[in-house]
Amino acid sequence: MPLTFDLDSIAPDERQPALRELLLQNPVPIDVATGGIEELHVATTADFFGAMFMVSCDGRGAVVHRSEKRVREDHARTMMLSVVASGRSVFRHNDTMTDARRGDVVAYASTMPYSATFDDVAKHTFMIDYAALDLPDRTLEAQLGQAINDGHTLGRIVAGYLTEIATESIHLPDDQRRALERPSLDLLRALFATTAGHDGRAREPLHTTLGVRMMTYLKMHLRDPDLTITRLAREHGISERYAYLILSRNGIQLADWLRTERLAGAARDLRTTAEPQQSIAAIASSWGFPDQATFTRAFRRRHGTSPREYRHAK
Amino acid sequence: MPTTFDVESHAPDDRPAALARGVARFPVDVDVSAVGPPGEFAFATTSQWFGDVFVASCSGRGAEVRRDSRRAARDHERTVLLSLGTSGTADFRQEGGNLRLCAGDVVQYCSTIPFVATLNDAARHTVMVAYGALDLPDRVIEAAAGRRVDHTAPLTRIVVRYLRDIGTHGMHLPHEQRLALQAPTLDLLRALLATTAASTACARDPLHETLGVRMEDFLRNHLREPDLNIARVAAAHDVSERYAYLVLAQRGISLGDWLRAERVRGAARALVETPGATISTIAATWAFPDHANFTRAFRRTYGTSPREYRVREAPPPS
Repeated sequence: MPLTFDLDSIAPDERQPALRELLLQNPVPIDVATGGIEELHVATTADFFGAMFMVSCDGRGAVVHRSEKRVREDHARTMMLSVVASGRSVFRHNDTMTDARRGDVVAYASTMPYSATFDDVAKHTFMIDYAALDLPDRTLEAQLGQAINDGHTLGRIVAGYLTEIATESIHLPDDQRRALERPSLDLLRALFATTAGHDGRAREPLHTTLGVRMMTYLKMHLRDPDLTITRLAREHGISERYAYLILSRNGIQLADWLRTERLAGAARDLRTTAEPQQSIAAIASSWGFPDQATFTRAFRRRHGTSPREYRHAK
Repeated sequence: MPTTFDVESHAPDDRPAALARGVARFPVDVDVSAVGPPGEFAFATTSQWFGDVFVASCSGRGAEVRRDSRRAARDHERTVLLSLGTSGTADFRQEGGNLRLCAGDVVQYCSTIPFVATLNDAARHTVMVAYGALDLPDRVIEAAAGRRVDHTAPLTRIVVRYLRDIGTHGMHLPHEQRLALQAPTLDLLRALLATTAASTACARDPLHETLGVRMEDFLRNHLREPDLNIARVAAAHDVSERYAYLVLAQRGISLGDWLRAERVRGAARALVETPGATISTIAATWAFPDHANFTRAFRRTYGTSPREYRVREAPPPS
């Protein structure tokens, strides 16, 4: 069963001490600085995935930090990965500062001082004993303080996985939760072991393959109505502007290309099927057009005839 | 680089032969042919290995992918396949069952049973893994064959999202990263297949919940004994070996892999913590038959020999 805690359920003058107490009971004890009491809201839910501990928390009005003094105390050395689910949180870990936003996953550790802002943010934090990850310290600590998904394909795959687990967590029966312990640890190990020690970002042939990866992605999702430059850029961890640039190097203007491919596909369907099994509205929506009117307009511009006339003239 | 194939890049005369060569790289033999007018036929794949796991992204139009009974009956490495639809619809038939694979759907099937999939402007990722790599009983692997996987179950959603990301983004990863993804990918597939099998085949067992915990405790307590195997686990808990496999699989444990990993890990700690012990002694303590066997297993996990690891990880002299 998950452990839950909501500061709002506590009398106002007891909130600060209660929060302090809660954070000290964390597997990694941390301290908290708060502003005005009326601005302070914190709710948490925590549960185990075998050796992994996950805390989900949301709220505002606080900064959490782990001081030099706490770091030096004897403690079980712990790796932490925070998944930002909404809002943003600024992490300072040693000399590294990361402004993490929705979808970012920041890795940090109990062995170095850190702080994180907590203002209108929801995040899930996985805590894993170093011993469970079972990699040499320097491998684990090579890239701390950074977003693991930043410009790094394997990191983005792992970040997507952790985000999904965090989101589904409350629905997972205990046996399935336990079944995820091993693959989760394996995935983190794969990430740290293959990207530490050398600069994984520099080694990755990211930009040489980006064009071909994006073209494959477009082909694989051609009929999705929400296939947009925004989604394409997000999936590949680049800006929209850069996505446009790469596409144009491949001779593609996205909106034109999508319209051409989709109209060609819809025209084939019109030729090879008939009413009432396959209505024009159904063909339009199966090719990612928002409605039949939009489809008919686009179709007429391309073929100089309406879909209905085209179908009957075949 | 992944292997790519596009029928459109071949001259029309050469297409049947080029297709045959293109799909010959797949671990499961299939035939691909046009089912409509030749002018409306398209078929393209991008495929890659992640250790023992093969992933192919495939888009097609007017194309039929068929594994006939002759191929299915032939002696071959038995393989489980999972297809994840990403766009359009594919009609899928295995053993009399018909289903339509839409974007977001997942279907599980096997190389031992003939199947036909028709791609109508459809795209999908297909994951293929040999039964042997999964190390699960056949019954668990085949329990949900030819069926749509219930992707509303939370564990399934997690695994499917991961497999889709591998199909979309993993193909161009460097070799060592793809190899590192083998273990977690197999773990996740095992968890998925075991969960699916449990919901279709096995009645709920009230002891089930505690049985898994007890078995894992048993394994940890007897980890260093060389004769620890599934027969002992099953006998100690008064269940069949098959059922013991299934219960362990639901905890993400494939016994052979798990024992090897836990023993290598224990031995790695011992290398650092007991600098006086010889490597042969540590190997024997952790149930490895001999020094050479231990060194091989160790190198596979840590990429270095036990001796090098010990030197590298030795605490600095204070």
